[in-house]
Amino acid sequence: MLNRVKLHFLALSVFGESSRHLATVLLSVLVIFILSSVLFISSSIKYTVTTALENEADMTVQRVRGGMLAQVPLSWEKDIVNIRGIDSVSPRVWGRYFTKPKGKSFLIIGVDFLDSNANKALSKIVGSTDLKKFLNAHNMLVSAKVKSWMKKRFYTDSYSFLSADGEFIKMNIYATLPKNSDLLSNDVIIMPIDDARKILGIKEGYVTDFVLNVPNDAQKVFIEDKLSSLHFDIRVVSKKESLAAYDESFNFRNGFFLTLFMILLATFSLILYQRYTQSYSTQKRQIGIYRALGWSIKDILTLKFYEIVVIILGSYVTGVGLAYIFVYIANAPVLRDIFLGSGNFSPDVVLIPVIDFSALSSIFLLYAIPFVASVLIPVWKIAVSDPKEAML
Amino acid sequence: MSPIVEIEGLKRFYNTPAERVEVLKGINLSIERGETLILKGVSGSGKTTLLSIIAGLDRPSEGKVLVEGEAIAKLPDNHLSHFRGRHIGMVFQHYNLIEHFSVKDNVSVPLVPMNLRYQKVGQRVEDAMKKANISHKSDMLAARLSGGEKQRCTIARAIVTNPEIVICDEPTANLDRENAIKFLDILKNLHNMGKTIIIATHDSIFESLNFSHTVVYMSDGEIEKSESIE
Amino acid sequence: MNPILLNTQVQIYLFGESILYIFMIMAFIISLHILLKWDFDSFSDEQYRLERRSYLVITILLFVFAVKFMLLPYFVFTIDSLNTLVPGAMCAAGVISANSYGLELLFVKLFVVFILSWWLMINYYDLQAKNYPFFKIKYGLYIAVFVLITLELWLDFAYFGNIDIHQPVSCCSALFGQLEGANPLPFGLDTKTMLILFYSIFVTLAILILTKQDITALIFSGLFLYISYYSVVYFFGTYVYELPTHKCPFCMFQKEYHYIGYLIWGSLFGGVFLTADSILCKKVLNVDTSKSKIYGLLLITVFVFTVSAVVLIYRFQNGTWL
Ligand SMILES: Nc1ncnc2c1ncn2[C@@H]1O[C@H](COP(=O)(O)OP(=O)(O)O)[C@@H](O)[C@H]1O
Ligand SMILES: [Mg+2]
Repeated sequence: MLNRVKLHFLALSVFGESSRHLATVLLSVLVIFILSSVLFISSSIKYTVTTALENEADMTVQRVRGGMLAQVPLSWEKDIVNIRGIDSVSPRVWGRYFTKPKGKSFLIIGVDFLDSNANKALSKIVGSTDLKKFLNAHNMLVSAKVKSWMKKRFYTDSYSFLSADGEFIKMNIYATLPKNSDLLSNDVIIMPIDDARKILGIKEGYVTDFVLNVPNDAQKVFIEDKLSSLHFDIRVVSKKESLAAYDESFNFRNGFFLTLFMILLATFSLILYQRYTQSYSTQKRQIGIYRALGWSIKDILTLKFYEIVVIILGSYVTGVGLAYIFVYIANAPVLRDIFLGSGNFSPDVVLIPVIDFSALSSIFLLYAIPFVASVLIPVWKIAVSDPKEAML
Repeated sequence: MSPIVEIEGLKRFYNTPAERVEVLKGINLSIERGETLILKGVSGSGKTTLLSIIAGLDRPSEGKVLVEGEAIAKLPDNHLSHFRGRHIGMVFQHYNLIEHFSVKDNVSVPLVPMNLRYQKVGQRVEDAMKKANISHKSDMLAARLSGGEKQRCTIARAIVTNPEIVICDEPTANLDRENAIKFLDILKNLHNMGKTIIIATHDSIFESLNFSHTVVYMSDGEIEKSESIE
Repeated sequence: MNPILLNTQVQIYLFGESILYIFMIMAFIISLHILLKWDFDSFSDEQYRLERRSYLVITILLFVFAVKFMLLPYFVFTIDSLNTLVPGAMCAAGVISANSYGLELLFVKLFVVFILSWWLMINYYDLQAKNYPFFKIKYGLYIAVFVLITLELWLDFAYFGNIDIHQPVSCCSALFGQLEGANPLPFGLDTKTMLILFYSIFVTLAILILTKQDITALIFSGLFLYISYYSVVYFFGTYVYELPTHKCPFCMFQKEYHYIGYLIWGSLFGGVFLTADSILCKKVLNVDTSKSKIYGLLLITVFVFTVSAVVLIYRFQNGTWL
């Protein structure tokens, strides 16, 4: 272990020869900074999506006709309720509405006045405003993004939708949705169910899908099987599947970044290897003197080991700290757009600080293993420097 | 009491691609405790090689080398290194100070592997610097020292572990005459402390050494003769 | 491509394991060389070169051990986080049973850490002596380690490459829960007898270690590992989860349970491994290892105290047993 004398020598070789380490440290900080920025953004988005989905229902029942999603008859509700273990089945009416110019799209969600479950959630959003008053007229709630889009086109307090039958329906903008989970709801419009049916062209007696909950986790797989066998054209999507789908799409992006990292890390390793190999000629003499004065190979290796640990940990803390500031305080300019894309209503997300063990340990391993791997052999070469060197 | 260094049939050769260079051709030598031994010989006669082997810096190709009764030729590295650190003080021809370290840090290098307490190290370093008359420069960088000061710093480093044997390779080669004479005084001090001193040199100044010592003449890897001088 | 192999953590894990393997190959070649050419009494340059090379092998193995040591919890952590991708899985238990390689991999991994730590211990004593007395055992054992790690790497890829994300797996309650009437405990033990056994084996083990009854202590440390596994899964774990029906060795690695699984399993395996390594060293090399045996016992004691504390804390907070 390190006593105070050895610590002093460690400090001498880390800070006394700081010019030797400066480039290594700067390079490491850069690598860690890039690595952690990307992983921080992705884990923050993942967190937002997961918590948003966490509040969603356990399963969604859809109908597939000819490989396309079709409207679901309300009569299916009876069959679903009959299965034991299922809790709170509710029909939903929702869909995408495409505006003509440039084909922007809104997500329209219809709310049933009689559906207490939906109302509870809605009351939370609407808050103080009177729910009945909202549902009784052609009113809608829009997200901030949608509102500003409409405002730009001079629809300040109402918007006319072209319904599926070809007639215009004018809806009043009643209020703006709160800005909490903007990632999923940045293009959402909420309106009474009858207006939504007309605009989306969903017939009376039909809905877009059903959502339901299964309180007992252990029954989930079984119930999914049961549901699937109800009708030939039924499709069941579990929450877990949607989580996995999101996960996959993030992995895809991360996979892309990981390929970039591999190139970055390979370059980094090569530079490190070269630097340490070159420093052999300058250090050979000093280490030779140490050896001639009674240091064993093990003593030298120990010193070098701690030297590397200090450099790795120092760069790690600095790089992660900088990335934290960049991502969560400066909100990751530029890099964020790569992740979220700038398509339909590019979400105006505030990245929620999520520091999870997974990102931190991943960054550490991804950086520290190649680091040590590339300097291990040069350091060994330095450590076995011939003590006779001192006599020449 | 048995001799502190016992060498029998020591050979050292280098296998170069072209031929086998024999640098030491069968050395027999024994050095008593507290003895001062001067190795004389022209450049290339094998003095440095012999010193290196006694100090455990180089390995013999053949023969027996006992230092303090320990067969150092086949000691594994960690034992050999620590043996060297504890029993042998080195004064190198080119001083071999770490230029960017202070005098104090340079002197404490041999103490680091010994796992001593910080205060103890400081105390020993102080002591050694006082004995070598370099205390007043303890915080100066080694690179800034004059030739004589560098030499004294090296000596402080050599005796900081309180070794039984002090080995000097051409200690006066880079010194002016005045400093060389000062060095002889320090040698006398070491001799009076009871150290065994081995010096390789071809400097005639050692003829004015005013205490008993042995002179060994080397030539072409062999010992020609040895004489005791009172 | 299999989405499991696209998972960032899996990729980092496999990347780490592969880099280590490259170094293992290097060390393997040097080891073979050393085993064939080593001649301690020789004065040749070749022999001194081999001695310097042996330090490269030591450095590589220290590196491999350190990284394996970090990768073991990372592995558990990774498969735990994969439960969102594998249908039916709630924690690592389900994911690891996604194919037949999973459990084998986990066992090989634990065994690798055990053997590697033993190797490092032998190395320590080898360097302490003045004539490398254990170099043959050391490098022979290294060859075995190398074979084992080759197997591990193959299992790594076989396991992660063959997780079918469309094939539902059982969750831990199905894997470890009691089927009606069936007793999952070995030898038809009931919980009470199992606990009595657990504590008495612990006390016996402690006494055996302190009185230097090596062979018996070795047997008892194996027994203790065995009984501890069942005690943690079927008794102490339920107090971690505060649910009498929740029986799982893996869920306790999750954040909800303050990652206490790392402490529980870490101290158990660390303690038993250290004790067993020390005894094996003592028996095979005939060196004094009493100090490291005491450290092993200390770790085991930490384990016993931790699991007992979990139960007692629950008892005091809720005023009742589960
Ligand atoms: N690595 C080596 N390979 C071949 N010859 C060497 C090597 N090292 C030293 N020598 C030779 O050994 C001889 C003795 O050198 P040395 O011991 O330094 O003599 P001295 O110190 O008396 O001047 C010299 O002729 C030198 O060329
Ligand atoms: Mg010379």
